[in-house]
Formats: sequence, C-alpha cells, structure tokens
Amino acid sequence: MRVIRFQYRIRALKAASLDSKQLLKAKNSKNSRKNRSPKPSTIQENGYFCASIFDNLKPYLMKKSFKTVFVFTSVYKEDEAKQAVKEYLKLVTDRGAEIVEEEFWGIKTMAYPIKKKTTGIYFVLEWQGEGEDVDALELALNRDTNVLRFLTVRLDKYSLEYYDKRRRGLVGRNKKKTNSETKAAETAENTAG
Amino acid sequence: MAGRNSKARSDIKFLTSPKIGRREKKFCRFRKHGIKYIDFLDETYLIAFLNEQGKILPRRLTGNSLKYQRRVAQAVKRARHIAILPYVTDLLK
Repeated sequence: MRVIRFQYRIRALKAASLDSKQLLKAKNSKNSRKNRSPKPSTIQENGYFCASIFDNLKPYLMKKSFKTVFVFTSVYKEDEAKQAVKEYLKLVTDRGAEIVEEEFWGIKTMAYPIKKKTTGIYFVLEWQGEGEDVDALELALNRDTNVLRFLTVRLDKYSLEYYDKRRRGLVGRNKKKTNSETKAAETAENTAG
Repeated sequence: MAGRNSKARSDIKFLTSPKIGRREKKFCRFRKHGIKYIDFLDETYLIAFLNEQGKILPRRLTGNSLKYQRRVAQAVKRARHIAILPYVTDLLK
C-alpha cells in the first residue's frame, strides 16, 4: 500500500512539474519512517525516479539476510550431501544472491527420529538475497525427498551482529579464549613442561 | 552482604542466618548482560531454559523479561523443528 501511495504522490508531483530537489524534499518530509521504501523493481519500472532519490534510497535497497538450515537424510554419505549442497548453492547464486557463510556440520544425531531416521546431515547457510529467492529455494527443498527438514530465518541487525561475532570466535559454541586466557594457558603449559 | 558486614559487625551474632526468609530478586539475564539475540542453533545454551521433559520454563522461574522470554520461546521452537532439541522427552538433563 505504502508503495502504491508513494507512486501516486510522485505522479502527482510530476504532474505539477516540480524539479527533482523539490520532489526529494516532499518525499523526505512525508516519509518520516525512512526504513520503508519501495522495492527496487518498482523503481526500475518507473523510470521517472530521479537519480538523487535513488541515492537516497540506496541503504534500503540492500539485500535481506537469511539463515537456512538443511537436514539431509543419513542415507546420503557426506560426499553426496556436499554434492547436493553445491547444487543448492548454485540455485541461490544463479538468482543473484550472495553467500555469506557455509557451515557443514556433518552427521549429527537428531533429537527425535524423522521418517524413521535417527541421524541427519546438517548444513547451515547464511546468505543475502530477495524474498523470492527464499521461495525458489524452499520449493526445491520441498521437492527433494532426501531433505528431512529445512528452516529459513530472516536475520535482523542483532542476529547479524551475533553471527558476525561468532564467525570471529567471540561468542557462541566455538568461542575462542581471549588473549589473557590463552596467555595464562601458555604459561601453565610452559611451567608444566 | 554477610561477608562485607562481618568485619564491621563481628560482635553481633545471629541465632539464625539473616539470609533465611529473604528472597533474592530475580533478574533478566539478557538485559543484564546486554544479549540482544538468542541463537536457535546453540542447543547447549537453550537447554538452560528447558525442564527435564523438554518443556520451556516459565518466566516466573527463569526471571526473563517478557521480550526475551518470547525470543527464547521462538528460538526453542525453531531448534525443535530442525531436530536440535526434542519436542517431548524424559531425562533431558
């Protein structure tokens, strides 16, 4: 709705033959909630958006971040699962999405049996793309009988921060020791040696 | 408290410990430590919010604020879906 209203306003302003600066001013004054913006496709379709507005909207045209968990059957060997993963990665990247992080957990005992299987091969993917990319990915996953479970989660700024920290080993399950701790451990080893 | 006061008031002796009958105030651990996001992939962390049967503990026991209790519940449910945590079980801990 917001998008449509925005279009109408622009059209009205255009009819009144305002120049681009005034257009921008009007836009800024009315759209006080800046994080709402028209989709990029809308902007491309409506060629009369001026460049300055486009620059103004740049931060909001950034791709959305997602985290997807794949659970393959343990009928697959790990190599086969990796091969399947590659196909899904290709599916995602072909649509113009970017891969941020891949984590291959390997075989893991599940908390409860699914389709009479007690183990599954886990793969966690963090990526950036459009909402339609999620649809395409989930359609493919739904059709694949070798995928027991999958889950796609939209990441907000806090979760992005968390996973960034986890990648650097500051937090979470793979938490590295801090400098002082490693030094203490080293000195302990030296004294023992 | 007792440790700090013992030096100054060593002459006073209580028959029963003054701590009895006084409950410590609960607090939200996420607010206290500034944790903004609860990871649904980290089952060892989420287990702290479950009882032995895998049920989510209530706020009145964990002391979570409403906002973070909702996020804990969301994370636990996500973890259950991808079979990281069980829906029902016995002797989880």
